Amino acid sequence: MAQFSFRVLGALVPLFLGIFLMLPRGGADRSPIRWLGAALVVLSLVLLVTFPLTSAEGAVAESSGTALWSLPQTLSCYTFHALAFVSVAAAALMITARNPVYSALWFSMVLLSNSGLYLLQGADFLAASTIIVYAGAIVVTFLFVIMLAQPNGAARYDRFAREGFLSALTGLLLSGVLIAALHLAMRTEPRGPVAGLASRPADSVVTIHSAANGNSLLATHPHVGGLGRMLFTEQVVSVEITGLLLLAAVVGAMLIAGHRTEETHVRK
Amino acid sequence: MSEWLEPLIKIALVVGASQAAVAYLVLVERKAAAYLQDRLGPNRVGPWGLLQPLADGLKFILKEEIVPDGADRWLFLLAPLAILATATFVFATIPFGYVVPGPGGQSIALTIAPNSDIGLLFVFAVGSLGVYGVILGGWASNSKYSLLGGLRSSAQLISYEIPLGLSVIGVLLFAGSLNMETIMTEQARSGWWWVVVQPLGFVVFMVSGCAEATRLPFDLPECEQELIAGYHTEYTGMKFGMFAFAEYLHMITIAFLAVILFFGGWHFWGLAPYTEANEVGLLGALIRVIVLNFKVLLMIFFFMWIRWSWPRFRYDQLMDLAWKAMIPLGLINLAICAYCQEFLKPDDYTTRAILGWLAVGGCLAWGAFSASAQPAPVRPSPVRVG
Repeated sequence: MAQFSFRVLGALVPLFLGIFLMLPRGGADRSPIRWLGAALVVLSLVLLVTFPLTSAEGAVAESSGTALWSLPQTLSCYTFHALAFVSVAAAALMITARNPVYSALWFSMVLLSNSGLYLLQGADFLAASTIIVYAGAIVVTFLFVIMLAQPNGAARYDRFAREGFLSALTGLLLSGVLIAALHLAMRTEPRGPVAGLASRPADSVVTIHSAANGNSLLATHPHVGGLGRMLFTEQVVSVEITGLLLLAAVVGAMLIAGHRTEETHVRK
Repeated sequence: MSEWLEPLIKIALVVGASQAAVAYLVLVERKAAAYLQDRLGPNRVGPWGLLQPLADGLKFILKEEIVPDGADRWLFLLAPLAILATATFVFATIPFGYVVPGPGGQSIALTIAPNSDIGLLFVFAVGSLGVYGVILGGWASNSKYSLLGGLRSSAQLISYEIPLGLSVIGVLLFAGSLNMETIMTEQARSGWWWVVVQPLGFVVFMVSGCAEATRLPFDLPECEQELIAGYHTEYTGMKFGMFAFAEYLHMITIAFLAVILFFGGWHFWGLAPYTEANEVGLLGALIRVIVLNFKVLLMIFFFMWIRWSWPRFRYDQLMDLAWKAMIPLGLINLAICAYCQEFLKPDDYTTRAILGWLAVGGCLAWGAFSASAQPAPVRPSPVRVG
C-alpha cells in the first residue's frame, strides 16, 4: 500500500506543480514558465496512464498489474482515451486560461468530451441533457455575462489566480483520493468500471449499476424509457419538488429583475 | 469490415448530398424569389442559370479573406467552423429513408446512427450548440455592430428553442419514443399523419422552426439593410459562405424534422404503406426514399414561399411571439396530447384529431376576442428628416 501511495504521489506532484505554474498571474501569455507547467501536466498524465492500476502487493504479482494503457485495445477504448485526454486537458486549460471567454469555451469543451464519455458508457440521455442544459444554455449565459460585463477585454483582476497555491493543493488532494478509491475498487472487484470498458459497450452503466442495486425497472427497461418510468414512478416526489424549486427560482429571478411600469417611463 | 463500411458510406452520402443540395437550393430560392416578384432570376450562367451555384462558389473562394483589426483571430476562425460543424453533425440521427434490403436478408436502416434511443434529443442538443458560432462570431469580430447582432441573434435562438421543444413533446407522447424511425413507423402504422392530429403542435413547430433557422419573418440575424446584418458583418469570402451554408443546413434540418414528426416521413397511402422492415424490397425502399425527400423539398419550398410573402418582425414582436404566444400554445397542445394519451384508446386517432382541431378553433376565437377587446396599439409617429 505504501508503495502504491508513493507512486500516486509521484505521478500527481508534477500535475500539482504544472497547474500551479500555469495559473495566470497577469504576465505574458506565452511565458516559458507556463510552457514548463504544461509539460509537467502532460508528464503527469502519461505517468498516470501507464500506471499499474490493479493491486501492486495483493494476491496478484507486481508484474501482472494492469495499466490503463495495457488493457485490450478496442475501438471504444481508443475513443475513451481520446475523450478522456481532451476532457482533462480542456479542464486544465479552463482553469489556467487568462481570458474568461476562453475559460468558458474550454469549459464547454470539457462538457462535450464528458458527454462523449457518457455516450460511450451507454448513458445516452445523460449525454444529451448535459449538452442541452450545460453546453447549450448555461455556458452560453456565462458568455453573455462575460461579454456584456467587459466589452473592452478582461479586467486586470480577472487575469489573476487568487490563492493559486491552495487551489492547486486542493486539486492534488482530490485527485489523489479519487485515484486511491479507484485502486481500492479495482482490487476488491476486478471487473469494475475500467475493466468492463474493454468488453463494452452495448450494456450501459445504467443497466450494470441498477442490476447491482437490484433495481428491476431500469434493468428491464434500459435507456430513456426506463429512466422516464423510474423518474415518474419511484422518484415522482423528488421530481415534483425539483420542479417546484425551479419555478420558485424563476419567480424569484423575475422579482429581483423588477418590472418596468409606466411610472418609471414618465419619471425618466 | 462491413460494420465499418456501412456508416462510412452513409456519412459520405449524407454529407455529399447535403452540400450539393445547399448549393442548388440557393438557386431554387433565387428562382422562387424571382417568380414571386415577377422577375426572371439568375439566367446567365448555363441554361436557366443552372451553373450559377458553381459561379457563386468560385466567388466565395476567390474573395479576399479579411480578419479585422483587433479581432480575436482564433475565435474569429472558430465561429464559422462551429456553426457549420454542428449544422452538419445534426444529420447523424436524421433518417433519410426507411430501410434497404442488405446482404444476408438483413435490412440496413437509412440513418447514419440507426436506432439511437435519443434521436430527436440528439438533434436538439447538437443544434443548440450552433449558438456558439453566432455569439463567438459577434464577439471575436471586435465590432459593436457584430457584438450587438450576435447578442440579438443568440437571444432569439435561445428563446425559440423552448417552444420548439414544447411542440415536439406531443409527438413524443404519441410515439412513446425519441427514436425518429419509431416516430415515422407509428404514423405509417396508424395511417394518420400527426399534422392532422396535432395541428396546434405543428403550427408552433413551424413558427419556432422558422425562427431557429432564421428564415425570413424572423431573419433579424441576416437583415443587411435595416440591422447591419449582425454577427457576420465582418466576415468575408468563404468564412461568410460557411455561415450562409449553415443557415441553409438549418432550414433543411427543420424541413426534415417537420416531415418526420408531422407528415409521416416515408409513409404515403397506397404508394408507400406500412411494412415490416425486413419485407421491404429494393423498389419499395427506393420509393420510400423518394417520398420522404420529395416531402422535404415541398417543405423547403414552403419556407421559401413564406420568405417572400411575409414582412419581417420587429425585435419586441419577435420576443412577444415566442414568450407570450408560442409557449402558451405549445403548453395547450401538450395538455391536450397528455389528456388523449391518458384517457383515450391508443388507436383512437379520430377523437384526438377532433380535440386537436377544437383547440385550434378555441385559440383562434380567443385571439380574435382579445384582439377586438383591446384598443389598436398606437404606432410611434415617424420622425421627419429635412
